[in-house]
Amino acid sequence: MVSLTTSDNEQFTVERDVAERSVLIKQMLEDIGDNDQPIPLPNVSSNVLKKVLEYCSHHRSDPPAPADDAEESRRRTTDISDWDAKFIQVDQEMLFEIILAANYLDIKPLLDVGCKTVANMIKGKTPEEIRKLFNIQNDFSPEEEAQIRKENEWAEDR
Amino acid sequence: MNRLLADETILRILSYLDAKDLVRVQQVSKHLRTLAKDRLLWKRLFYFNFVRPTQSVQVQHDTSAVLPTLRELGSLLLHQNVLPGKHVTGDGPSQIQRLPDRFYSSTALHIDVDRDFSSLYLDSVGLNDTSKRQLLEWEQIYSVSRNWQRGNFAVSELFKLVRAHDLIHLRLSPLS
Repeated sequence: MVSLTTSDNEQFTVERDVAERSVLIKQMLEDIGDNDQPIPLPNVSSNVLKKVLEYCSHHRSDPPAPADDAEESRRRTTDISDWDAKFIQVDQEMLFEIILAANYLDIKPLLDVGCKTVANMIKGKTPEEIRKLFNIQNDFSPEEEAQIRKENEWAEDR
Repeated sequence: MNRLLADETILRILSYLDAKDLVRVQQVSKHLRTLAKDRLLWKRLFYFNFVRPTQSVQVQHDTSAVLPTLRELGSLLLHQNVLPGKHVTGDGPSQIQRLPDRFYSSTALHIDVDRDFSSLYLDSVGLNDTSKRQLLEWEQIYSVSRNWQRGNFAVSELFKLVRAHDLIHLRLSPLS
């Protein structure tokens, strides 16, 4: 069993193979050897870690994620498995928190699920809809906007 | 999104988008514009849309290739950038419906699927990091290839791209 301590000082105890879905934790465990000390995760809060561990225990017996080099050749698809799609149905703040945690903990498949979900939210939306969705300020002048729209005409279906 | 996520993560998200969505993201904000113009994103898109599909199709006749080789496309674009306002030699008057035969691949694109495609590109365009040719814009290559495939290819399109390119430089120069 492995103990993890979150930023808000909550302690989680999980089986080793679940925790080792995180490459960061896996490497930490290898470095410190057999040691019952809890692993501090100062960048992850308990409500996020709970969610992340839910993912890790569901995917505990998945084959290890491919190395970065092999990644470029992966198919460009935004398909998400049914379980993952249900898992990632959270509010936007939690979605971003999960992405941040997956990045920090180095859980590539979870990072991909998060990124694909955000990509799917963007797909088919107009620039204005995207701004609204993520609360982004439009910092282009009207002239710049017109110029960019003209430059980008080639990509729109005519 | 920009405040919370690192650029690296946003790029990862953008890598799942196609050209149309990527171009729309460019119109959202200055920061997202910079990210959505990332060369590697467009290089990837070019690969998946124009190179990879040809791998599964056996090209049997010399004339059946619909895309120029990357080297030819590269030199064509470079030519346009270096000499704005000039036609590709031998193209005749202002507009061309089809590029000269030499811009079409006469042999099938022989690509080893297992090879890392980034090295494949560097090889096939004759690029390396010290070469001037690294200035090639993959977004431009993508848009030209798309127009090409749709039969929209005309020299006037390229002029527009070159002009737009120059404008960006002009606009950015006071900032630097």
